[in-house]
Amino acid sequence: MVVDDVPRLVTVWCPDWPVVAARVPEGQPAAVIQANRVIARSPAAAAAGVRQGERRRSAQGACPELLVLDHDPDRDARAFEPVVRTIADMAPRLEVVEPGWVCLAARGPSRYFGGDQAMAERMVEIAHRATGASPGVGVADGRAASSIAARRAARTRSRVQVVPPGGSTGFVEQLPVAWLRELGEVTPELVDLLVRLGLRTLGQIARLDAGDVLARFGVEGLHAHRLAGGADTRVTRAVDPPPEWWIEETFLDPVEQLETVVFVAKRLADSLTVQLAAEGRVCVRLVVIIETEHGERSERAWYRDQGLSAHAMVERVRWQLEGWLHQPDGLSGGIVLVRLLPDELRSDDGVQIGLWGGRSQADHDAARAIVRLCGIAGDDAVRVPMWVGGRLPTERYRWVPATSVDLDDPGDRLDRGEGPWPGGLPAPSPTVVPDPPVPVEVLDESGEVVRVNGRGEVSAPPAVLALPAARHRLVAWAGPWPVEQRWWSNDRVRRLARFQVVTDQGVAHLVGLEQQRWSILATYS
Amino acid sequence: MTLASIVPTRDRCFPVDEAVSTMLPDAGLVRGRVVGCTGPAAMSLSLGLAARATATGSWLAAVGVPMLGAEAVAEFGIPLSRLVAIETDRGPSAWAERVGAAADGFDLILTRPPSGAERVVRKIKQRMQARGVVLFAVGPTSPGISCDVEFTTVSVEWAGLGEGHGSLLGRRAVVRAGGRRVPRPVERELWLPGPAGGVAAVEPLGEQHDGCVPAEPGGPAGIDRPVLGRAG
Repeated sequence: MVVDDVPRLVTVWCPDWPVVAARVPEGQPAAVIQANRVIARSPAAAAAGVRQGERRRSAQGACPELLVLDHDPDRDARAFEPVVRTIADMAPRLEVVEPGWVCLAARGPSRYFGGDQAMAERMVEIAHRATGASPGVGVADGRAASSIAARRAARTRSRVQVVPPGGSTGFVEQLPVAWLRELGEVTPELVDLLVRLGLRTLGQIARLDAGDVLARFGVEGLHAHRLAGGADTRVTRAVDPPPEWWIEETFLDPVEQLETVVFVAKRLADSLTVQLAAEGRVCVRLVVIIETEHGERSERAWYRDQGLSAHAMVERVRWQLEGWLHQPDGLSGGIVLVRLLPDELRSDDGVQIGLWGGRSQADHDAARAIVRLCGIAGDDAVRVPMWVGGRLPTERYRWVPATSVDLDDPGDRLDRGEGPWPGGLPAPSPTVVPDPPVPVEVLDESGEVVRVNGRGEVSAPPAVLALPAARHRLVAWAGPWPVEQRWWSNDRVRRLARFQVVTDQGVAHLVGLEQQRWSILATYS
Repeated sequence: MTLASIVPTRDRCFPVDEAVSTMLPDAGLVRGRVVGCTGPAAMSLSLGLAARATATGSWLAAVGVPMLGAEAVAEFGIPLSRLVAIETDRGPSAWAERVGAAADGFDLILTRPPSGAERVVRKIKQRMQARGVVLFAVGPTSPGISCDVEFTTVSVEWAGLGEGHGSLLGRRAVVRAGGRRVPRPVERELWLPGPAGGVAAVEPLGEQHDGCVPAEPGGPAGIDRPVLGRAG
């Protein structure tokens, strides 16, 4: 496959940046957890067998002394700011993909420093001296190839990998398919499928016919095919947006609070993405400009190959602000201007995967709050519902600890399967389900306890619900609806008769009679 | 300069179902407000209010609401994937701490304030306002907290259950919205839940019943209409 006119790019990539940003002492096994999965680990933890993407409990099982840290993207952004600044001193036109990952055009700096190799080595050295970070630097044609080169370089001693001009195709060809997942370009499911179909290297995918790949795997497959051929990510000729598409907000009163700026940025981002979507475009390169009342200015380009959604844009504004705020020569006054400038657009192919996995800001915030609540109240006090199924209200959903499930993928947890549960009660369901049930007495007009015989006949119409503290007259009732469960097991057999009753207070209960004892199974509050 | 001075109130609202939105002065749940729900249908009412916002992506934390029926929550249209329950022990300080921590990440909090909550409520309210969170305080009686918006079920009637036959189908409830932020208290008859699940307005039956009647301030259910059946 012929590589069309792709720019030569440098990628600077810091491995396991969230752990580095958390300033874990050397030699300490540590892992940063997001949504209950390991997203980064320290070298010591990696040596102990903690793997990327592993669940928290299994990581702790592999390495009991593991220091578990919450993911804090703002902390990552703050810590990354000095690295970005150091690189910007060498080559100002850079774009940040995420904290720990920067891209820039190779041509200018490479000429200035005397070749790709010399420039890359210098970048590693300067970044290390200035911040202590030890990034990998990769130089290659195209974004995907240079990103892979940087990741491979980070594992070597020299920390530099230069793919000669025109060599990207050959470089990419021999790599295993799993690199697509590593770059966050393709879903793990597709990579899995490709491997199971016997396509193990990118070269094997590249040799397939593009039309066949599209027919079989859709747009995502075609994207994988392009990458495998060493072409640049997505369409290379991005459309230049018309100049009037930038959007800004000026404040007459300088704004001091970060949250307020972020909130305003959210409104800007929302209207910008709506505007772009109406044209069928997504923004892949966004320039964020922020100015203070004293004329200080922060301008940064953010790149995301999959396209920046509204919350991705807001996230980047927040990162930029966090980084700026925590600089020694940061801002000295309130903010008077926020401008979002879409710099590169491409047509929207509807693929939104990878880095963010479809998580919204609300999902992020909730996941972080859940982690904090677990810390305060204990893992067992923070629970989410899981579908079990059954005929009684207590059986249908079980509350399980939030840390034991994948909050991002509630499919299995809440999948109720096909068809109804015979013997369950129709909607509406009770809002209050005491477990264990509350003992009561159900009496008839003459004050006798109501009985149900073996044939399901009621001794007399229920008339009074007698709680320990109060008696309520019943104005409506229906039943008995018998349940006979697990009759095959001697110790787990249950036989009970259910009734719905409404008291004169207008409160409806589901009551049950089991082994001659009445109890409130649930209340419709 | 605070958020409130930049963003108009209507832009700081969580959406609510049409049946309830006409009862609220801003047609939605304004971020940072405390919403009280009392009466026999208090829990259903709060779930009905939270349904639209959670369906559009917000998360709901149930703090100190033991025995919550997850199936009923789902029937109100709340995605269970965005519901988390947090247990607390009895004391108001533990409750306040957990409500405060939940406010950092959840848009909506459903809670039964424990006794003694009025001692910590001031701090909680400030936290809700700072984070833009709506807190539903649910209780069979008034929880001793002055709420920005207060919903009370004035009378209820269950449909579908007879004497020895039928099964519960839905509940008609006369709900009154009042509180500090509601200048004109409004009463409305709602299905809580309706036969199709969720909140719905009860269709007006006749001319004497226009569905939305301003109540007399301070008085009890100040409306003149046929008594809603046995319960009430």
